[in-house]
Amino acid sequence: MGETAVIVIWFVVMFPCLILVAALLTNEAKPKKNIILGVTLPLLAQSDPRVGDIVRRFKRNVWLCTGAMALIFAALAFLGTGQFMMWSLALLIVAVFTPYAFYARANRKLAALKKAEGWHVPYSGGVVVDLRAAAAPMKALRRRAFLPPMLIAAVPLILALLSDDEGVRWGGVIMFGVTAFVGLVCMLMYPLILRQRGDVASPDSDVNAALTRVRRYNYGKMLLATSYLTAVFMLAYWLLQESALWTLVLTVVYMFVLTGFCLATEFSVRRTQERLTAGESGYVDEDDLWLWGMFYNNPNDRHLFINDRTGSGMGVNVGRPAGRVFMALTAALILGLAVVSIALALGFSAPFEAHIESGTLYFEHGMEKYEIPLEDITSLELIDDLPSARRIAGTGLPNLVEGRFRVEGYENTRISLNPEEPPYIAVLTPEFSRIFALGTPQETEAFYNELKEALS
Amino acid sequence: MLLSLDFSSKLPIYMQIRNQIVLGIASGELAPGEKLPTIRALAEQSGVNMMTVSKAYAALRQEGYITADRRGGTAVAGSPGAGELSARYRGALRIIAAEARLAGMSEDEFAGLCRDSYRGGAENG
Repeated sequence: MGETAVIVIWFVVMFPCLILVAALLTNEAKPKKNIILGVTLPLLAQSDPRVGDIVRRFKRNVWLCTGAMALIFAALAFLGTGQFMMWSLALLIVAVFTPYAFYARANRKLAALKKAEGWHVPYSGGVVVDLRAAAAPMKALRRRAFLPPMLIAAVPLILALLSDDEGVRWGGVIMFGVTAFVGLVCMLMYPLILRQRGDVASPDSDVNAALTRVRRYNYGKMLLATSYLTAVFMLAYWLLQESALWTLVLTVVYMFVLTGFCLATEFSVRRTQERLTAGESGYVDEDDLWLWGMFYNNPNDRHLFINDRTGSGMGVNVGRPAGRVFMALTAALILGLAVVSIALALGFSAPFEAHIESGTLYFEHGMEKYEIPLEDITSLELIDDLPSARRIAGTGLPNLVEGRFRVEGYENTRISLNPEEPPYIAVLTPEFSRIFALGTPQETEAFYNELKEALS
Repeated sequence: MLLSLDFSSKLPIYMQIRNQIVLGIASGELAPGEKLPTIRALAEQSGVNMMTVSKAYAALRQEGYITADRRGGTAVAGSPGAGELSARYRGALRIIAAEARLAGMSEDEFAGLCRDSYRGGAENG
């Protein structure tokens, strides 16, 4: 597949993420349960021109930021495939989180305006429960509804585990194990929503019960769809795994279908919340329990996972120690991902270097480093064609193949080379094989001769 | 009926639950025979410990405001109908009356306040 095609596909996958974040955030500006940008406002205050002004500025900032990030994404394409992919991953993380700063700022401004104007609703500052809605029985999915996708998902995993080939076994465990785990997580996550507080946004218990039902029903629908779609995807992936093009197409289709379905459901929940509470004058205010309108902070609530205020998502109660640990780990993971992608991006532009010193071969390219004592080398070859290789873990780009691969005729192989610049050096030891090349064919050939001489 | 719990209040949570259910019954928002959430459901909905809800329900059951059985769950019993306040609440009323007097309220004003509260409990809660 050409370099341009890879960039286009990557762009097609990444770019919608920016739009989705912006669309989800700006949707928070529409009143749902009398909440605008995380601030509960009485009905009259919602139409105040100053509120409208804050909302307009917020929307404008988010879309401007999204536009600017998209332009930077497009500019990155000129760096070449590898660098583009890694830099765009780091940039995506920045692009996804920056609009939240605008959200937090708008939330603070609205909260200050609300305080200055003395806008308040009947129930403020506490946790409110609708007794009648809480007492009413509510239908729930049965756990066994999640079993079929888990069984489907287990098929390729078991087959991979039964394989004699170590590469297939590990590749299968990573690929199919992770996706099979998705089904299990969906099943375990479903009961969480049933243990959450019901929605309270009206003095009418029927409205509150309807809000809770809508949230729970759609949450269950999303989890069920995720587990079934993932199972089908995994089965299809397993059947088509020999074709790189088809597996790529399948992955893109799976991502789009799943994201599209979940988003459609999320927006449907939000629209229903909007409609059901459109005429309410503002009833329950829990703003004090939400930091910047985003993070639930209630040490008195024993729930670790809590419902988002609007929509059907869930968050973490940072008022609990476990919640703070969870948030810190999530932040560390995101930061780590950004750091790794930057390191990889820098690695792409790093030179391929190899030298022989004190009877040892040293090779280095970015994060890929190894040393092989010359006495361990049993065979040395200069090859013009890369043998048929299947990636286990690593990079497979038009201009860089790097990482752990299963290669026909070689054991326990790591590759590090530009496939567009043959020849390549294959070094074999009793325990492993390494196939690499340097920056240019001339450099590779020169080093091969040097190595051959050192071995003789 | 909405139950509002104020965690910054000095009044214990179980008393807040108890008091608000009593107010709900007096105002008619909770009708006799009406089902109340189970202890587990109310604990999950409010985010408080099950023991706290259990303590509130135990107090309400003891005072005759609610009934509980294994099959039917917890339901509003209505007014216990004893015709008089318990010694505990008569004591509390005496303290409130004393505080009203010290605050400079006249007997008529305090009686009016009591009347309004009494009717409020029956009309709007």
